[in-house]
Order: sequence, then structure tokens, then C-alpha cells
Amino acid sequence: MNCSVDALSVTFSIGSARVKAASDVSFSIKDEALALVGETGCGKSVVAHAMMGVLPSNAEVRGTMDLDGTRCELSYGRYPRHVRGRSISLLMQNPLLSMDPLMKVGDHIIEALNRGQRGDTKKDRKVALEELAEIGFEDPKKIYSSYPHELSGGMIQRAALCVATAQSPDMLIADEPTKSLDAKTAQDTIAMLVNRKQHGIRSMLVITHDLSLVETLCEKVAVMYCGKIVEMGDVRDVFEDPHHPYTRDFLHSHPLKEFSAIPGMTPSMVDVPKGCAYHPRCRIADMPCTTDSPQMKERTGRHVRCHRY
Amino acid sequence: MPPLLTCRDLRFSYQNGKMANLVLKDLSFEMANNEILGIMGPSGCGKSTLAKVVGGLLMQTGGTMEFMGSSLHSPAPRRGIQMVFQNPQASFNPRRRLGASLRRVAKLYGHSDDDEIMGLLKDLCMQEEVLERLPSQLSGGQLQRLSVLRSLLARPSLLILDEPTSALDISTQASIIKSLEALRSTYDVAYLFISHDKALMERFSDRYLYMRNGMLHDDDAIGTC
Repeated sequence: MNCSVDALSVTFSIGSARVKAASDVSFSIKDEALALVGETGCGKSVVAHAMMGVLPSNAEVRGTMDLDGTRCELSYGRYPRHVRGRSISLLMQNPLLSMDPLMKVGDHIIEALNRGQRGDTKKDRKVALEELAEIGFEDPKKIYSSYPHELSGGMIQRAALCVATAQSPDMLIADEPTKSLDAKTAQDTIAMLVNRKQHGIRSMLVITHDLSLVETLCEKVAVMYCGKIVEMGDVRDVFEDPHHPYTRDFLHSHPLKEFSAIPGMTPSMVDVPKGCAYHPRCRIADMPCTTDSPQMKERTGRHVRCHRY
Repeated sequence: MPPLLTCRDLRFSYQNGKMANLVLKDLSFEMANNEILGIMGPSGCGKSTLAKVVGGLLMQTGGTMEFMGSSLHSPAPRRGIQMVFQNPQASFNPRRRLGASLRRVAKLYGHSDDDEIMGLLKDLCMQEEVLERLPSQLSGGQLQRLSVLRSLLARPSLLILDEPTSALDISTQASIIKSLEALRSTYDVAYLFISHDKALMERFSDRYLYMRNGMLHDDDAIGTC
């Protein structure tokens, strides 16, 4: 699947305040996995929710998405709901909270298979059990009849992936799939996503700050800061030689690298600094950085939004 | 000098009807003053239960605990032992401004004015204006800093950190861990640090123990966590 997002911007109206959560976000995914990384609150999940058309009504969404040549408006009320689940699907952050606690796992899968309608339950049950077996459950019947709270963190993540991929979508958006999981469960989840990518799901957008997940699963990475993509390129190139100062600082804060904290605090999205949003924390900021917002520049496949690039 | 915390044959079981699910199995360890002791292990191994037992939120079903030379018998609040939880959003009253939440705790520990809160805000590189905000108006990293601030208002000797950064991104994590490192010497506090991140554990703790199925093993015996 070829998926491209063009000039996506999302502004929330909260009382009298207007919060620009995503601005001028553009990228394309062609039968590959793109990771969207960045600090908490930088707008990663907002991009995912805009692509699924599930943002609340106080979100003003602008921009378009192209799915294999089909142009989709992302604004509220104009989103083509028929693409949801079949062309593009979302694995939600925190699977336990994304499932109905009063519904069994099997019913979640059948509901997804039938797009919310009751269907041929005997046939659907067979498909659901096959899905659960395929994803690695040794006793799919037991999982089928279990309530979400009866499963461990790793099991519920696998069950949620079954629900998200029930209609065999061409593209999957995985929102923080390894967040709060222990190392073993996170490794199992990554292996499960790699398997799905090799068998069935052609394209993935992976929202995460787990760099091992990015290195294992994704070919490309986009780094977000204050609602904008500041750097994008091949995973290995960006990780080995980051060009944007924020990407460099972000990667250096990993415990396996320098473990150095980025100076200053993340600015409030209500009051984003003028010019380059990163300039108050940037070690190489100069005159234009404080006044002019930098445009995205592209050189040999690397996209960087920095005056110093 | 006696150890700060001594646990001997510590046991805890959750009662499920007539069944007892033994979660902590005869744990013994010691902590020194100002030490950072890490506890690492997979989900469900009993790390958080150990934190709650040491923090006095659960009463042990066997074994003994000594804190600063005195025996800990009851789950009554222990001023010298404070705790920071994994999810800061769930640990603040969502309807109360953060300043009001913190002043309430400060008053409980005998601080009559805002000086203590302001001093800690400065130590944690935070601005005064956060006190006027509701929890929903701050990021996870800012709220977790305020959780640390709240626990330090009691001037504890031991702070239990139950996966304090597992829900945060790596740059916020680095920032909070650096703040905790600085506060450790300023406030002469020891940390019982619970995490499943081996890289972070090796960066932050003085030594760490591995927990599996309710039992502690030396770090030498660790395979992959």
C-alpha cells in the first residue's frame, strides 16, 4: 500500500485557547514501515488519530491522505469511513483501555470482522479462532472466551492486534505498541509485528519512543517536535548521523548512549516559541532561528527542518 | 552504622477466597543510607507488591522489616518512607489545582508556608506557574516531577520509585533521572528503584537485584530481563 499524508494540521479549541497539535505534517509510506518518534505530547498520536478520522469534534483538521491513489479528506465530517478497518487500521495505545471490559476477546474480533454488525457467528468464530492461533496463542478457545482483564499485558497486546487486523488491512498504525511492557513482552510484541509485516500488512506507521522497536521494524523514521516533523530519513542514516539538533539531543538521551538530558523544558503547545520551536533549547541556535520558522529541506533523501542545515 | 532498611524472610500473599497466592517468597535484602538499590524483573514477578509492602500500603504476611533500626510492624503511614508511582496522572486529584494538592501535603508535614514547595520547585527546574494548573494541563514528565516534589515534602530517608519513567519518552526519562541524581545528595535520600529497563538500571542504580517468581537473585545471576 502507498499511503501519503499531505500538509496535515490539527488545531484543538479548548475554551478560548487554540492548541496547534500538528502542523504541516507530510510523509509517504510505500510498502514499508515508518516510525514517528518524539517526546510525549509532540503530536504523534494526534497524527494517527487524524489518519483514522477519530479526533473529537473540537479538532479542526486540515490536510489530505492518499491511499493507493484514493484521495481522502481528513477534516471532521468528510472522512471516508469505509477505509477504516479494511484499508487502514489502528492498534491503540494501552490495549486494555481500548477494549470493552464487558465483552470477551472473541466478541471483539467478531465485531471488528463485521464492522459492528452481527454476522454469521459460526463462520466468524472459526475465523476468530484461526486468527488467535495464527498470532501464537496455544489455547485460542480459552483466549476467545476470556475477558480483557483476565489476560496479561503481552496477551492483551496480541489479542488487540488480532482485533486491529481482523479485516486484513493494507496498512496498520501501531500507537506505542511496546509502552509500559517489560523487556521480554516487548520483544515478543516486536516479533509479532515483524511477522505481521512479512505476512499480510504491507505498510505500517509505528508511533513510539522505543528505539529498539524502530531499528527492528522500520525502514524510515520521522522525528517530531512541537507538532512538526523536524527530520525524516532512513532509520540507519538518521540514527548514525542525525542532522537536526533535536534529533541529536533526543537520541543522546537514551540510556545506552550518553544519557544526557535535553536542556530546558518542552514548551507548552498553547505557547509555542516563535521561529524554530526548538531554539530555546538548541545549542547552535542563531539569529534566524529565533524569528523565522524553518522550512523542510531535502538533500539525498534526508528531510531536515533547520536553518543551520 | 546500621543499614537504612533490612528485610528478612519477607513474605506476602494475596488472599483469593480460601486460596492464598504467594507473591513474595522469603525475600531478604539490606539497603544503606543514600544508596540506590534497583529491583528488576518481568511483569507480574512481584516488584510493585514489594514496593507496596516496604511503603506500608500492604502488610507483610511473614518476615520482618527494620527501618533505621526500628521494627516496622504496621501498614501505618511511614513519614521516612515515601513513594512515587508509575502513573502520575492517577496519583493527583484531577479536580484540585496542583498547588492546593501540594500545600495540603506540605501542611500535613508541618510546613506552614510555601517556602519548602518553592525550594523544591527550583531544585526540580520547574516554574511557579505550574501550581495554578490542573493535573490534566501538564505533561506526564511535569506531573512526575511534582510527584517527586510531593514525596520529598516529608523529607524521607527512603524514596520508593515504582517504574517512575516507564510511561515517559527517553528524553523526559533522562531529565527526571538526572534530577533524581541531584536530589539524592541534596536531600540525603536513598532510592528503591523498580524498573524492567536494564539499560536504565545500570545507568542509575548503585547495585540491583533481579526478581523472578517472587524471589530475589543477585545481579550476577541475571540473564535477560
